[in-house]
Amino acid sequence: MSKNKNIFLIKLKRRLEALWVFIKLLLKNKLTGIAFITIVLLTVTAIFAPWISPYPDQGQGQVNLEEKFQPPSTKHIFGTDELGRDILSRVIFGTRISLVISTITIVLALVIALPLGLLAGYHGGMVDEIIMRITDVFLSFPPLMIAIVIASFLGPSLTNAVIAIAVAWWPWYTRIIRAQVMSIREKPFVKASNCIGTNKWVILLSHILPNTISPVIIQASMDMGGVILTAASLSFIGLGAQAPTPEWGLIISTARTYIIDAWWYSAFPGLMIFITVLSFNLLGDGFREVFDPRTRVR
Amino acid sequence: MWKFIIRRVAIGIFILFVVVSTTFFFSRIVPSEPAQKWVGAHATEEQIEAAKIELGLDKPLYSQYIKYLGDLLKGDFGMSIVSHRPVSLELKNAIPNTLELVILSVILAFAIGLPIGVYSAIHENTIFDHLGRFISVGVISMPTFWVALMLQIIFSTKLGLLPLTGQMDTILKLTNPLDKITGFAMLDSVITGNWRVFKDLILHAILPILTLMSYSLGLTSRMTRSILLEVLNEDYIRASRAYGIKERIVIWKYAIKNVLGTVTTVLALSAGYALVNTFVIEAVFSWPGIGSYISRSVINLDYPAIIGVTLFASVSYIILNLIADIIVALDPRIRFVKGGD
Amino acid sequence: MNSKDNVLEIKDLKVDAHTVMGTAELLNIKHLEIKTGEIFGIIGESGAGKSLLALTILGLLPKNVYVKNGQILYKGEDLLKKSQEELSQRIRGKGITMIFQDPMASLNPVFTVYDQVSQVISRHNPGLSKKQLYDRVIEMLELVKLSDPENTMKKYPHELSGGMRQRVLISMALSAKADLLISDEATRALDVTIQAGILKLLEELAEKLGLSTLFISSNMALASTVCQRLGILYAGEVLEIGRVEEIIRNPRHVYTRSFLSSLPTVEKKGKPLPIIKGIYPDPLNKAKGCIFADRCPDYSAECSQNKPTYHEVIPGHFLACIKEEKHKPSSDNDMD
Repeated sequence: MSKNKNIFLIKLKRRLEALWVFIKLLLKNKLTGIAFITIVLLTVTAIFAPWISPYPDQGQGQVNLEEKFQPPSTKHIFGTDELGRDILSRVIFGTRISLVISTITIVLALVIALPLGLLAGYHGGMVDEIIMRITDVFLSFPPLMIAIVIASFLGPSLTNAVIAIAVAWWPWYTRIIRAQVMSIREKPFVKASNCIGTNKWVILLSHILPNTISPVIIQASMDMGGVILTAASLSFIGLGAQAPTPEWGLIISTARTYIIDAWWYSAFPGLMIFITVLSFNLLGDGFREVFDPRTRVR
Repeated sequence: MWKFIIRRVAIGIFILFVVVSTTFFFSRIVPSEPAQKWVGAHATEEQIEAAKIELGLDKPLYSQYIKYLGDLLKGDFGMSIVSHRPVSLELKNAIPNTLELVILSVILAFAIGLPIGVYSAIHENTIFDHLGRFISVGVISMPTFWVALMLQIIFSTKLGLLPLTGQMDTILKLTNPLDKITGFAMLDSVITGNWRVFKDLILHAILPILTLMSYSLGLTSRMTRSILLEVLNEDYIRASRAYGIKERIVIWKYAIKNVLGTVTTVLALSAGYALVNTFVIEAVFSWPGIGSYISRSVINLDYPAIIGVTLFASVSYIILNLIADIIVALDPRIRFVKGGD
Repeated sequence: MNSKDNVLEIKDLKVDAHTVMGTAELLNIKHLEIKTGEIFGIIGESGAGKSLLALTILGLLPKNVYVKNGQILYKGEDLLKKSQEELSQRIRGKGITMIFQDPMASLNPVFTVYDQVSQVISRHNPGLSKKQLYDRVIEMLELVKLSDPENTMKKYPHELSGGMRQRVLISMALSAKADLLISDEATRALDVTIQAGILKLLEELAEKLGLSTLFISSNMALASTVCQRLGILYAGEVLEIGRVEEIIRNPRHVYTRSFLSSLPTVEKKGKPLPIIKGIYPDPLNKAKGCIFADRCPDYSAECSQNKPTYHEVIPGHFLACIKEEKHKPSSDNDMD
C-alpha cells in the first residue's frame, strides 16, 4: 500500500515538474506573460465586479437621467450612456457576462463533442463515418455564420446564443478527440489491457479518456477569444443578450445610434472586448509555440 | 483529376442538400407564426387561414418539403414574409453590392497581408517579425463591428473626410442615375463612363472595405508566415542553399512556389470570413447588401429571407472550398498521386 | 600535418546551441583534417553531431546554433570568417558541396530535374546561353549515369525512383565543379542493391574529378569499404582517427572497440551482440573529464577529472584516452 502511495507521489511530482517547465517555457515570451496577467486581472474583475465598479447599481442597469451623455471625466472615466449610467461600471459587469458565457459555451461544446469523439475514434467503422460526415458539413462554414443561422431560428436570447455558438463549435473538438483516441487506441498499454480482457468501458474511461483531455483543454483555451468575439457579434446584431444586460456587444449595438454625439459610448466597451480577445489570442499563440516541436528549441 | 473534381462537387452538393433540409425543417419546427405575420397583427382568423392556404402551410410537411425543393431548383426562394416580395428578387439586387465589398477587401488584404507574412517569415524573430505578428493578432482580435464604428467616428464624424453610411449620395442618385448592366454598381459606372458616380461609390465603399479588410489582413499574414516558415525548414531549401543558390531565388522561387497551393486555401478562408462579417457590419454602414438584408430578416423572423441568404452563403463557401481544393490539386505531387499520370 | 596537403582542416572547433533548457554543447573537435583526394569517413551513432559538422562547414547552422570558437580552413582560408554572401557565392556548390540522407526531401517537389540542375549551373556560370546550359545539364546527368537524360530532366522528383533521385542530387551537387564533397549518409534511405551502385558512383567520381570526400556514416562496415581514413565521433567529440586498417584491426579506444564488436559478422553468428552499457551523454550537461568515462569498462577516477589530451599514438593515428597515454608514454612526447 505504501509503495502505491509512493508511486503516486512520484507521479504527482513529475506532473508538477512538467507543469512548471511548461509555465516557464510559456512565460519566456514577454507578450504571453502580459497576456496571462491581463487574463488573471480580468477574471478578478469579473469576480469582484460589485466591489470594483464605481457605480455598481448603474452597472446592473439603474437609470441616472440627470447625467446623460457625460463625456469621459474623473467622475465617469469612460463617460455615461443615454440613460446616464456609468459606462465603466457597465463594462466591468460585462466582463462577468463575457467570461461566464464563453466558458459555458465551450463546456457545452465539449459535452457534445466528447462522447461523439470517443465513439467515433474508439468504435470506428460506420459510426465514425456518420459522425465525421456531420462534422464535415459544419466545418465547411465559418462558425459565426452557423451561429447566426441557428440563433435566428431559436430566437433572440443569451441562452440561445450560447447554444448556437456551442453547436457551431463542437465539430472542431470532436475531430481533435477522435484523432487523439485513434492514436492512443494503438498504444501498447491499451492493446495489453485489451488482451487481458479488461472491460471496454474501463479501457475507454480509465486509459483513453484521461489521455485525450489535455490537448482538448489546450485547444479550448485557445478558442476563448474566438468565442467571446462570436458572442459579442451575435449580441450586436440583436441575437444574443437583451437590454438591460450589460453585455459588451449589446452596449455597442445601442451606442451605434449615438456615434455622432457620444464616441466614448462605443469606443470603451469595444476596447474592452479587444483587450480581452487579444489576451486570449496571445496566450493561445504562446501555447502553440510551446507545443510546436520546431519552435521548441528556440 | 476529373475524378477528383467530380468527387468534390458531389460532396459539395451533399453538404448543400443537408443545409437545405435542416433549414427547412428547422423553420417549420420553430413557433414563428408565418401566416400571422403575413397578414399583419390585426388580422382575423379567416384571413390567417386564407394566408396559410396561400403559403401552402395547410399541406402535410412532406409535400411542403417536396414543393420547396422543386421551387429551389427553379430558383424560387419563396416570398419574404415582411415585404411580400420574392426573396430571389431581393437577393438579386443585394448580392452584387455585397460581393463588391468582399472581393475588393479580400484582394487588398491579400496584396498587403501576403508580403507582410513573407517578410515576417524570412526575418523570423526580428523586430519587424514581432511587430508584424502583433499587428496581425491585433486585427483579428478586434470585433469587426467596433472597427466599423471607430472608422466612422474618426473619418466621418470627427474628420469629415468620408460619408458615414450608404452606398451612394441620395441627390447624386437622382441627378445622375446609374444604368444597370451587371448589377455591380462600380463596374456599371465604369462601363457607362459615369465618373462622378464612380468617385462617389468609391468614397462610400472605403470604410466598409477597410473594416472587412482588417480581419482578412491579419488572417492572411499570420497563415502565410506559418506556412512559409514550415517550407523554409524543409530539406530541399537547405540543399539549395548548400549548392550556393542565391537567397533571393531560394525564397522567391523555390520556397514561394511550394507555399502557393496552401496560400490559396488561405484566400478562400479569408473570403469566407469577409462574407460572414458583412452580416454584422453592412447594417452599420446601411450598405444595401445581403448583410443588411439578413440583419433585418433576423429581427423580423422572416424565415424565407434568412434561408435565402443562408443558401447563398452556403453555395459561396462550397464553391470557394472547391476552387481552393482544385488549385491545391494542381500541385504536381498531388496530381501524380491522384491521376496516376 | 602540412596544410598544403589538406583540402580541409578543422582546429579547436566548438559549436553550441541555445535552448530553453540552457546551453547545449554539440561539437568539440580538437583537430581534424581531410587530405586532398582522399575519402575520409566520420563514423558515429545518430545524434553524435555528424550532420551538424557538415552544416557547420557549409555555414548553414540552424538559428539557435552557433560556433563558439575555432577555425575551419578550406585551402588555407578560414570559412568561419566569411560572410553568408561570400560563402554562397564562392564556397557552397563551387568549392564545397554536399549530398543528403533523404534525396526525396532534398529535391524541390514542385520543380523539374532540369529546373533544379540548371539553376545550380547558371548560378556559378553566369552568362551561359540557353543551349550551353541545356548541354551542361545533359552532361551532368550523363556523368552520374542516368539513362535517358533528355527524358529524365523533364520529370518531377516524385516521378523518379530512390536511386535516380540520389543521382540527380549528386549531379546538382557536382555541377559547379566543387572539389570537396560531403556525403551525409547518402545511401541510408536506399535499398542495399541501389546503395552499392551509388557507392560505386561516388568512388568513381572521386577519382575522375579528383574530389576529396567527407563520408559521413553510421555504418562502420560500409565506411570501411569506401574510406581511406576514419574518424570516430562520439557526442560531438572525435575519440580516434586513423587509417581504416588500423582502426579495424587495432582499435585503441574502448568505444571504437565496442562499436566494432557490436557489428554482426559471420564468426559471431549465434552469439548475442554486445551492448554498450549506460546512456548517451546529454549535450546540456556534459562531463568535465573524458566524454566516454561513465560508460567505459576501464574507468578509473582520473578519467572524470581531466579531459584526455588528443595525441598521436603512432604516426597518423590520433586518440583521446588517458589510459592509452599511460601505456605509451613515448608517443606522448612525439605530440609536443
